[in-house]
Amino acid sequence: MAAEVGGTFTDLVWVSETGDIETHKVPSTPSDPSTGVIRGLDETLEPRSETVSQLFHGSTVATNAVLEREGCEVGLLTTEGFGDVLQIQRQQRPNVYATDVQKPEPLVSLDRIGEVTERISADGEVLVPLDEESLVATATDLVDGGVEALAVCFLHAYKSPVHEARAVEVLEDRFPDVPVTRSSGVLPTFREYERTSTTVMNAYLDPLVDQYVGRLEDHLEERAGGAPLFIMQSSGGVVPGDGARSRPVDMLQSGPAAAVMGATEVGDALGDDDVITLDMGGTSTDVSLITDGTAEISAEREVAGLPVGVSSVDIENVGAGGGSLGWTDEGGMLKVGPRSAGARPGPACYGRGGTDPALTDALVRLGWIRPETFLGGRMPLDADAADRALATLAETLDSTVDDTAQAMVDIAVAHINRCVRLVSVQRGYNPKQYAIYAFGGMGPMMGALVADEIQVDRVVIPPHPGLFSAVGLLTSDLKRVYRRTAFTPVTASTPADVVETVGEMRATATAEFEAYGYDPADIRWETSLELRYRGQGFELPVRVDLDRLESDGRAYIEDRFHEAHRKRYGTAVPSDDIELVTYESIARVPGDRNVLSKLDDRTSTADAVDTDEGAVRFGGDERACTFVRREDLTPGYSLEGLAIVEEPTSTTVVPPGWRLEVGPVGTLVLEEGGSE
Amino acid sequence: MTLSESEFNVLSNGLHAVAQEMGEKLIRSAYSTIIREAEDCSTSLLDRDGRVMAQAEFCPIHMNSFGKVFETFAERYDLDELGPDEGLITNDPYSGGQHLNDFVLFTPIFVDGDLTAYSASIGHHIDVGGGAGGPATEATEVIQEGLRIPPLKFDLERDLGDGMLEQFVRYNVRPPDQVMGDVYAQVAANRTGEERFTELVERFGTETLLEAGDELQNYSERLTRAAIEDLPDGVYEGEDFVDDNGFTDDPLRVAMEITVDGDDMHVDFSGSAPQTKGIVNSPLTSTISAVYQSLGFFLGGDIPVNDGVYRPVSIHVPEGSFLNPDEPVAVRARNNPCHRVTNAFMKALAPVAPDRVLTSGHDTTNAVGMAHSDDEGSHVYMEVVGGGWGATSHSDGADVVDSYGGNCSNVPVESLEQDYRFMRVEEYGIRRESAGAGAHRGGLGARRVYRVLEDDVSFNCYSDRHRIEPWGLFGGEDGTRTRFVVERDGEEIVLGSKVNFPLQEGDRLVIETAGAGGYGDPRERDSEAVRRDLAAGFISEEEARETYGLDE
Repeated sequence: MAAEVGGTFTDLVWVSETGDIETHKVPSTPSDPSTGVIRGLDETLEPRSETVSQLFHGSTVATNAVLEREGCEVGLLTTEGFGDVLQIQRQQRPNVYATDVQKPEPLVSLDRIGEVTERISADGEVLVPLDEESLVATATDLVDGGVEALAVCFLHAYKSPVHEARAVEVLEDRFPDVPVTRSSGVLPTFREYERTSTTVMNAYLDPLVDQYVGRLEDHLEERAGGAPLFIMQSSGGVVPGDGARSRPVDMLQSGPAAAVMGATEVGDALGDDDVITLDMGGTSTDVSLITDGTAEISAEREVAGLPVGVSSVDIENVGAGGGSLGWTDEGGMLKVGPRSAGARPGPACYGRGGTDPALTDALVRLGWIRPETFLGGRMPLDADAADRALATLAETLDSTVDDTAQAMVDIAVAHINRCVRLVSVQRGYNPKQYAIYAFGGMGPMMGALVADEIQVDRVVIPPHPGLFSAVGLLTSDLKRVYRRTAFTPVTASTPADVVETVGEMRATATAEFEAYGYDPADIRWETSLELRYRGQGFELPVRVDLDRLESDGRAYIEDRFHEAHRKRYGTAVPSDDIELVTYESIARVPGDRNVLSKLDDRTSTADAVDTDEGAVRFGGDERACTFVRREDLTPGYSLEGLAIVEEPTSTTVVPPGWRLEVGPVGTLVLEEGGSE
Repeated sequence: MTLSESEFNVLSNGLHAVAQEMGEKLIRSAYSTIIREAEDCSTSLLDRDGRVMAQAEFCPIHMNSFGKVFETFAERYDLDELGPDEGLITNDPYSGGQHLNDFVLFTPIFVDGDLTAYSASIGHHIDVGGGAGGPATEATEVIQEGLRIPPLKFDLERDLGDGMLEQFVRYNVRPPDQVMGDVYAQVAANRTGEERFTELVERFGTETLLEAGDELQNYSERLTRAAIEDLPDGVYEGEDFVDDNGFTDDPLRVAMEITVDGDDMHVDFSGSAPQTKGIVNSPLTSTISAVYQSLGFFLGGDIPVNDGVYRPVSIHVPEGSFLNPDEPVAVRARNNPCHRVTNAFMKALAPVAPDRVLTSGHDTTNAVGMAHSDDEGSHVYMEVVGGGWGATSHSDGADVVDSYGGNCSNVPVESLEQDYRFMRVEEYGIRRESAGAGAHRGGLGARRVYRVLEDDVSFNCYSDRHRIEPWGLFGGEDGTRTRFVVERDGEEIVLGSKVNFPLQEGDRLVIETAGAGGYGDPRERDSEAVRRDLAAGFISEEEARETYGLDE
């Protein structure tokens, strides 16, 4: 069973040993998301009197807790003289010309930050010994003041963790009920603001994740004989419940990462190694890149404007979704999003009182969404309300309703397109060589339109696109990422040093995986070195093969880095002065790859598919369009655009000049080159 | 306009994305802390006439000067002859540049063999030679401030590397690898602009794209004119003062008279101080850029700033004033008068646009520099230590940010302690009790303390607001002044705001930057906000009680 908690719905997918499959959607329960999961679990299983052997889980609970400020009261202990690092941040104004400058609000206020006498140098030497008395006194004040979790972040702790480690010992001894996070445990890399922010966020989420995981485990104990729980991490792998508890910050962005992992697996099944994923829902679109069968990972991201240094699937988000509103600014420019109609009132066509036109209203006007078949006919739409909302906007623009609707679609496509370029072109990859995998409720509608813009000629719609994150969960690997900063000139490091350091990191990983009950022999390893030309401030990750390193020596690292730099910045510097900054070691135990073949649950063998001929507006003209139901389509079936495929959770548009074919594992494959 | 609604939106966003990506490439591949960590650099796209189409979100004082410096090149060279491998570079304040540290680089963008647009970047270089590693505050002529690069047309292949331009620069700066590494980062940024612009052309066609560039400027012009038209017609006066020139104690006046006539604005600086000894003069390009940046703030941040914003404004700066000095006076600290330009602008318009203006913040570039030589060569450290930001009718000032002309980040202590072994940071925090009280209080300044670990370290810095407090508005109180102190053997040595000072091992250098002035009567401040400030230690109990009237 996979359960994925989104903002509005909790999606569940259940697959049995014999290949039976059941999907289910229940409303999310934001006040305690585990309630929705438990309800969904019971509702899915009860009619079948079945149970589960494993629960895979993805959840926005951590991200939402940060966005809504619902984490715990954190106390921060930091080096004397540096207590304001979270408030100062990086000193920059988010909007350069704004007069009312607002920095992102830190998770800890100043009255919950205590300074401790200690100091470590940039070389890792102790300059001022840790004053344990001042540590205890300061921590006691914080705990007495109502702090529920402690974060410890000392300067240069990435270089020498001795003071932090000792501080944690002392604090855990003194306050056994208060969870303590230390920066050298969560993110042993330099830059104090970013590291402190990450450490605090981990502490902030600690009790919440602990309780959340606990409730799910209790329910599994009761309902499924203690079936194990696996939780999706931002890096795109799952860990057992205890693993999630040990590093709550890794649970950020859990849901979107699961969908990308699902796309990786479907891509593998179809032979697409290079994939752009496009996950479009009601309020926004997530875009990421899979290259050579591996999702791109970034080492840092922002949540609510606060930096967090966790290895995450490199997902960029743009505020373009079905609920995104069309509006004009003071200068008369038409804009779409990031303002959204949200779930309430929703687009005007929902008939819940919305009067501003949303993208969904534009799609209804164009005829791409048919009011009577939306959500499988369960929610008839009010096309007149959509027209009224669009008419008001059209008047402001001195344009027609149809042109306004088309312009909104074009702008939304452009937003997504810029996001695609951000993850591809700007990172040094050519998107033309990729296939687009489009999912989410809205993705299949926009996939081929985005493809046209960036000259991609292949679009794949995976099975169950409306609950694809849940599908992705089922195929996930058990995975954990370990990082360590150690500034070393590459000239001064021998391959043996690298192998030794990586060996130490692997030992840590092996111990952790053994504790979860895994055989170390099943672990697959990946190693990356993050490098820069000495003097630069930002590193580039380079994947290395330790065997190659041992046989080819230093030149192997140097060549890989020059190449990576050329790819990212267009130039390589003719210098051998390369610095190794951070080691990254990934441990993974592969998940169940057979799940995918079970996902195609269509049983229809009808030769003739029911088609419904209609008309839609497309690219400014009225055109004939064939409508089909996805559940009727069987492998080998094909259809020329302009056509629209409807299914309960999504709608796929096959534009003119594109051809649709039903592919393996229940996919729809759209390729350009059909008849215009 | 023949562009459709969607084309205009799509292309204007596209042009801004290009400018922004150029800036990111510049920062990510740069070498010096001042660019890669502090982000003292800027990028823009210009049309073939040198008008700014789109700028990235970096330093306003840079970004609004590209058009002006372009004029110099257009006068000096027949740009129709420019080849695809050629570039235009200068740092000369008397040729449309600002101060010598800012290298301006233009490279042409060709489409089907036709020069169609320009990539532009400015990087603030960590050192350009001259009398000190960092600002030479005793300088009186620009020649003493370092290497002057005239407006040059050069060939990127031929003149870099072993070529004449690079070798010339290398022999005239202290850390040549850092300076040239950053020049290469600028080249990479410009190349990125060229590639991305060309991709936009391929998708949309040259004509459509340039039309979008034009329309984007017209769009900003419309919005700017609308904002000016909202002001009642009339003449408004404002003034503010730079503390001193570093040699005498006399304040230097920036006088401004703004005439609003319908949707046009005229800004006249008659009555401003004459050009002065030392480095606090502002070359004409900088002064004009400062007016444009003021307008950018006045518009509030939601309007793309480009050539269209400039068009409704005419500017008169008297020749021979310290805002338009005669060659060759020194100009390194041009940011001091430039910030006063924005201050005077806000003061002048406060009575008629109270919701659009800011009180005075720390409003200077506290360019804290240190230099030291050892066996490995010269090490030059510089970063901008921010301070309090002004309050508005509806918001407190932000604590510790850079001032108007820049948006420099701080340098992580963990980064600079690796790179510079001759000092260590002992304290870096918000300076308590430094903000001016008000219904909305000013932003607080910073306190940063360095311990010097070697002899023969020179402290090189220019700053301001050491004598004259940041002012409040409408009953708001003044903020606290900036001060630099060296603690040595139990003694306090108070330094001036424009200073070259030899530090010794064991010295503590204390930098305390100004807090901003408040806006409105402190007694009208929300009592919850007062309590919050008290709990954080930002205000004293006495201030809470006496100034804010908090009873309990």
